Amino acid sequence: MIKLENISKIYPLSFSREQKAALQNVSFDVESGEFITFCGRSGAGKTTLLKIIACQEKPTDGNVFFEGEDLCRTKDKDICSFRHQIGFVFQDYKLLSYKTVFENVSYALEVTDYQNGGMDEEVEQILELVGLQNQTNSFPHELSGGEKQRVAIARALIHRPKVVLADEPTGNLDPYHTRDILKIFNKVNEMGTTILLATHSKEIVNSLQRRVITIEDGEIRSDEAKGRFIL
Amino acid sequence: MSKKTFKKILRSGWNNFQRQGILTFATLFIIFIAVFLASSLYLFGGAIYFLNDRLQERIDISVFFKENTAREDIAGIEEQLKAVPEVKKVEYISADEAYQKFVEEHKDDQYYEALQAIEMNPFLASVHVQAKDPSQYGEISSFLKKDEFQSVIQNVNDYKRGTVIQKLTDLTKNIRTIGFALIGFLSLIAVFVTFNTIKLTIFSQKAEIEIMRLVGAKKSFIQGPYFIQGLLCGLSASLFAFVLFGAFAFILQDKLSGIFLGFNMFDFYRTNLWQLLALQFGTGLLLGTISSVLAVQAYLKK
Repeated sequence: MIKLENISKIYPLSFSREQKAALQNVSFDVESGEFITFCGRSGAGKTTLLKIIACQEKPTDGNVFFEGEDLCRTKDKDICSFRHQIGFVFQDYKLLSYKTVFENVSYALEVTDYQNGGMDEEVEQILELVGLQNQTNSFPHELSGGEKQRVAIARALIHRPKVVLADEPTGNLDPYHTRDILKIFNKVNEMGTTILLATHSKEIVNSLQRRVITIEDGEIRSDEAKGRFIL
Repeated sequence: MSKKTFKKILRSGWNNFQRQGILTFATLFIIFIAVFLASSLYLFGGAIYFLNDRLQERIDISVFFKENTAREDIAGIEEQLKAVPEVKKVEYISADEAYQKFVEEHKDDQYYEALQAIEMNPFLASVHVQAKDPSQYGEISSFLKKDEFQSVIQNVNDYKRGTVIQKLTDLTKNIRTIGFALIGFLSLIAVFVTFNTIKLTIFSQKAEIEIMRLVGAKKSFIQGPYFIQGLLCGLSASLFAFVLFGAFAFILQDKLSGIFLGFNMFDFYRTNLWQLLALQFGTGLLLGTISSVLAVQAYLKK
């Protein structure tokens, strides 16, 4: 489904001629329906990796394929259609602050030119799944961190994406909310959605017992089918 | 773009306008200032034209006729003057009318007493000639100095007027030039300040635009609501400026009339209502929409 071939990403450092390699020769394949955890310390390159998969950044070298199509050669206008197949969840939620919970979730569906009727029902259903059916008219600033993250998850799932990219989705949450969020991810994965989760939490990695790709200094240190936190 | 998408964009723009209180207020306020300034400059332009006309009206050549000149002779000269292409207006004032006018103007002062003391009418019948353009007074003056008129004309009151008229003409031209240069300069500043303020307010939306792009929103779907929001800000700001400017014009009309030689601000506002409406709403809507589109465009390119 997703294939990364010798991906490198080099950033020029500000105020000097030096460069920093965020990723170096990273290659791996992702099969449809997999749940992969990328683990590594802060600054290891996890976020850069997800950004490259999401076409938010272009790699300095290498290629990324999504269902056989080279994302590095995708034109700007086609990136929208590609993103309609992806769901994003971020540590800082990235919710639209002037839209209600309902509007934040429905926005992801509206941008896909969703033509079927019953959009409202779909949004209500997904909000029920994440336990926010009673807060549909609240604005993000009226929600707790856990609730915001659940809105972000609902938004990531509403358009039935093939892949969910989650970058430290539990980073700001307490253990109870973390457990809830992981439950949702597991449930969604059971329904066939591929999940790519970046985290530096030992507990999460060990509790999931799924494929773990460990990244250290921009390189893949290990790739295990039922991995554990090894750093 | 489908009708449904268009409706969504409209609704989203309206929601942004309603919900983004401080942002909307800041944008609206700065557009309001620009529109108000544009209206003031338009009014200033009108006042300059009015002053220019008034100054020109006050410039004339007075021809005084010898005592006991027959009315028919004066009427004959009047007719000849009216036939001169440069002449705009010819007005006859008889000796009696001149006397009455003087009495009316000086009934409370010592000049009236002096006039009564001499017990006769010292005024002469006169004709006041106005040219179409101040530069044409020289030609009219030469026309009046023809030999054929000298038997009836006592004097032509254009002594020193050559230079005075020239100075006034230069002055009105300068006022107009400086006035319009000032209008142009201030308009440029208004556009520049407005654009940058709107750009700064949309800068705070950078993160939101990034989220919209990540979710997969097309450029038109991101830009559309900002366009509508800019349009609504421009519309509201123009409406406020229109009402407030009208109120100011009404309240200040008497005070300003004294300063501007009788220029009535409110009359000007009423008679030029459509032009003012076009100027105010045109400025407001253009500033609101163009600034928002350009500012969002800057973030969409990144």
